[in-house]
Amino acid sequence: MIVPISGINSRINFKSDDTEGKKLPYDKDTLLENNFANRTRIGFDKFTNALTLYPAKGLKGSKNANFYEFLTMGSVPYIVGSVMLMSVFNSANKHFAPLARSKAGSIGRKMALGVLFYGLLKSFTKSFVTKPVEWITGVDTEVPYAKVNYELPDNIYDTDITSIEYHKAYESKEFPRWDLFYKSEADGDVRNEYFDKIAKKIGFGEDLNDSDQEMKPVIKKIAAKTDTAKILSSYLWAAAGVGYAFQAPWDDYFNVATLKFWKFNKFKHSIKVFKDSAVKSAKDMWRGIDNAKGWWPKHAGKVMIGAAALSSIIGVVNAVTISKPSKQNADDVIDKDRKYVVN
Amino acid sequence: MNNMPQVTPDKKDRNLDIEYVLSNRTFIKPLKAKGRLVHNGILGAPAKVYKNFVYDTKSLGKSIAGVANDHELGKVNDIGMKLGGLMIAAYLMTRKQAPLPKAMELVGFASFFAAMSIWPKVALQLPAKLIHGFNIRQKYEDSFGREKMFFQDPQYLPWDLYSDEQIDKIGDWMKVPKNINNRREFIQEKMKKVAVQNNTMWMLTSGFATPILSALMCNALEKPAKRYLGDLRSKKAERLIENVGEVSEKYKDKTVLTRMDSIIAANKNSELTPEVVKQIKDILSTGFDGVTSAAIRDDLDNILHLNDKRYILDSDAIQRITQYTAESLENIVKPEELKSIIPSVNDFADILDKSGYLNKELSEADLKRVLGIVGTKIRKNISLYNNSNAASQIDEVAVINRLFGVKVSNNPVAKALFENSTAKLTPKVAERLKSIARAFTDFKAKNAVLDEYIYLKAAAAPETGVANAWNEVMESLPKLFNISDKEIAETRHDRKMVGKLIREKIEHIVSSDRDDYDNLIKSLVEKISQLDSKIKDLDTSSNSTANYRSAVNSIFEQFAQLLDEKRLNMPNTEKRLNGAFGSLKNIQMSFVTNRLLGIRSSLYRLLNTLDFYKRIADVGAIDRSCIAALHDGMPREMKEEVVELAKNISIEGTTSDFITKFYELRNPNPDISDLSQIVVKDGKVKNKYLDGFVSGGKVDLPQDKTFFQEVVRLLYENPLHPKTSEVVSSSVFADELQKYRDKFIKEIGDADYFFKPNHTTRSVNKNAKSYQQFLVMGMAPDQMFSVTMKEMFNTKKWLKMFGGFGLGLLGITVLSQFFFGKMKVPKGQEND
Repeated sequence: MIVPISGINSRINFKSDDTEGKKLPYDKDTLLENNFANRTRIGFDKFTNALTLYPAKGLKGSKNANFYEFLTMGSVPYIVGSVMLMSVFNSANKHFAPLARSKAGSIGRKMALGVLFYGLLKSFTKSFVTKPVEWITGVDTEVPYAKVNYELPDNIYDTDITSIEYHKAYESKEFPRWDLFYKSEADGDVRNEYFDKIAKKIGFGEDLNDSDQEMKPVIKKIAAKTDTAKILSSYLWAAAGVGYAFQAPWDDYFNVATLKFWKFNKFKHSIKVFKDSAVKSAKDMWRGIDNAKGWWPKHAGKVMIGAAALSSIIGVVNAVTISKPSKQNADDVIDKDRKYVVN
Repeated sequence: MNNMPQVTPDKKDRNLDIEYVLSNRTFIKPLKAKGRLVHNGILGAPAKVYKNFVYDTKSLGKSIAGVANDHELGKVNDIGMKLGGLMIAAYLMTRKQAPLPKAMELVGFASFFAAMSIWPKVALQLPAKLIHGFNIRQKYEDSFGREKMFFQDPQYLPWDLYSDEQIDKIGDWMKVPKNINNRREFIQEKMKKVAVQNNTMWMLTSGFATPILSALMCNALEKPAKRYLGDLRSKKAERLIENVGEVSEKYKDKTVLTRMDSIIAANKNSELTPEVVKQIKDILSTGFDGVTSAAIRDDLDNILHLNDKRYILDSDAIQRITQYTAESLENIVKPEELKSIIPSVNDFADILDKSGYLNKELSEADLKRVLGIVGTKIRKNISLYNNSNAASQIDEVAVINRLFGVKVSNNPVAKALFENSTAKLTPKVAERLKSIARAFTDFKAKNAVLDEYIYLKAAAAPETGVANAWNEVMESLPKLFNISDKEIAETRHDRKMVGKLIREKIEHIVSSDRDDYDNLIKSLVEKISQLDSKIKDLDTSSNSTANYRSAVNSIFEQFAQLLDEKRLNMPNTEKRLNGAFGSLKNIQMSFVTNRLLGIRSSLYRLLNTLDFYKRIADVGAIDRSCIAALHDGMPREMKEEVVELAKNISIEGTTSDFITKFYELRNPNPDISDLSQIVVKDGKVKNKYLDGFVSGGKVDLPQDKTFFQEVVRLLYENPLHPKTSEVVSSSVFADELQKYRDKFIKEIGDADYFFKPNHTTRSVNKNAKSYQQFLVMGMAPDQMFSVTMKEMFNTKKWLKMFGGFGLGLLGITVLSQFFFGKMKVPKGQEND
């Protein structure tokens, strides 16, 4: 099926010019700075799209629906599921008899808190691995880029055929977006500046002939190891978060919890109790159940926290452990009598 | 890619055989695609699980080494999610006390992951397959053996894996016209569209569905899990009781032994000072109740010879007597004179031998006599000395004063003998103490096994055998009594309302023309029999052959034999152990006895209540003896009062009601001319007087003992309804029900202060104990129902809310299928 593609500027029939003044944020794939503002913007963009645009496209069965959109929509079950999980444990309680209600309520609220802590810890503990790796090696495995996608028009009047996707440059270990890291010599930059920096930082020396070629496999390894540690440790932290939510002192907070910030004193008090409960709960979790039978109940809290912390630390150590190739004479590298297969 | 096989060419290429070389892939050329669609059957599942496990493990290893590809890294996420989930389950298990909630944490973990994978299969894959004719979650294996979802990335679909026939078949199912151009492409587009829509639907619904489905699964699995765990624990209990001897080794607390050893080592052969004695007694009596511990202490007094202390006058003692005497006279008598007045060891021995005390165990009286003998001898020596040495005289008074004018314990002779008493930690005594410690340790360990058994079987804790069996009966009650969900919802907060509801229900059942009553009694008897068979292992009555009873008997008997005079010689302890009333053995048994009594009474009370209502419902037709309490001499008004109170207390009465003597408002002046029988319709009494107005008002009449007597007689003495006895008589507890009725009259109706002192139903029973009354009274039916109904309401409410939501979601998801994949067959592409 061949249909005429109408470009951005082609106006076939008479209609108001809605492309005037519409500037695309990016006209080509662009590496973005990994800062808070960008992260927030990307997060917000993905989140709103996951809830609005992508489901709409998907439900229509749009021919432009793609894997990125599918993956981005993966956050929907997370969010909906979390709310659902909270409500499964809480919303029936109000129909129960008073004693059963308070008992079920205490468990239900902790469940809800557990869901919340799971989500929070799962996301922010990732930086426990990625940041140290970045500080030590200079490789920011999380660096984002905007990908400009040209889509098929839905019909001949469809002029808006671009879509922006936000990816991470090292998202794929097989095909990292190396091209984005090269600087333009035409603009007076050093082409391999990025790779030079990393080479220097991880001790491969300065003034390498082909720092990009030398660094690429090393960076790939760092990225793969960092991702592994990031994923595993974030789940362990998340699990510890659930354990933390299940400590008895949280009940103190739930008894006074309020979000009515305009009732200043009550709100202030609830914040104070929240802090106290948080500290007490952390202590309780670490201490374990004193008179419990067996080793595990006494030490489970320590093990949870310890395992999570260790996984982050070991993960970082593993990621920054780089084996340098032994210095070889370039002449020896290629065996002239052999034939090579290029992959 | 690294996976591409590399073939090193031969060095000499002079006679190049292009076919050979090509077939050996010497040159760069695309590899032959090896991808295929994956079709998994149930049979292949285990192999698949294994294969995936191996792949995941390898992926993890490669990821840690930093050489994993994207697919392998993706697996790390699955591993992490499951690892985190397991950690959570393992941690939450520590927060739960009983085994069922512990197990449910794991069930919850597993069900969550199961729900995640089941939902898209049931709600999307299956209906899509039925409607569109293909698997939207089709998997394929790429050339490198990696399994992926076919429709995962709509921009990259390896269509070549589907053969033309397959696509055609799907097209036929989707009713794509056969005669269009590029039919295959059109079908592919349609399939893609359906898949994209389904994938989107999956993402949108699974957030709602997974938690609900998981919770529903847990809910469904709770009962089987409970039953399974109950069986497991029951079996564990049986294993314990059958191998008490072996098992008890694990329960042995060795501290008694080690502490005893250390005391013995520290005080070997030395005097048993009060402190040491206290330590020994404390060690051996810890863990026993006050009475038993007192008995043990008494026995130890004997064993340690504390009550019949004797003093051994041997050469050691004589040696010490001379030494201590010399020491105490040091400042009064010159050293050279001492020899003259203190007899030598041999002299002493001679004198004491002559008086018959040498090498004897002396009593206190003997000791005093020996003191006299020694005193006389010393005086004699002093006067001898003074007579022969005029120059230096020894002050006899001072010497005697110093020796005998002091406390007995400071007297050198007594002191020497005290140190040589029989109350010593001699090796023999030490050995005895060790044996006692061993025997006690062993006995306590065996007792611990018995306690564990009882805990598993009968404790007032969740998931014990008794609790499970009880719950099963309770859960069946609302259905047996035809109580609807609506009625449960209306009455659940108030026991009084539940009581009223049950009364209505029972009155309806007993007056039904159909076999409602028979069926109810039959089901109830069957349920009670089942429960009875489950708790019969715990029967401790004298004719029982249950394991527990025989284990208790043999353990206590063996220990008693050990305590026997010929062995450890601890008669007081033995008596306390196996004696008649209040002995340790009886206490060990009585916990179970009382627990079973409470359970049985509660259930028999329910049966008895039903029977009583039935007798009243059939008041005109039934044999007169069954309602003998409502005899001809009783005014009709009183009959109505008796029946009303009986109906009330059989459903609602508690022990405290009996203690507060039922404040019952009655007519003090009933119409005594009307002695007719009550009239009953539809199970309810048609009251002629009861609801009527009484001039002067109704009052409580506590002095009317006949009234209460007749109530008890009507409920518990008059024979059962023939229908009831017919069913019950063939059950395993036929005798038990009758025994229960007798017991009720004896313990409550005949209690010396039933409603007024000595106003009893038959004869005065002064032994009626309040705890016995409590146990015989059992649980009131209204309370029984109230608790069960509350729980049922909670579960049902929850199920209705979320089950309903889940069903709705499923409906929408399935229905949406019919709107998926709509595509116009493009014009101009049709052949015709």
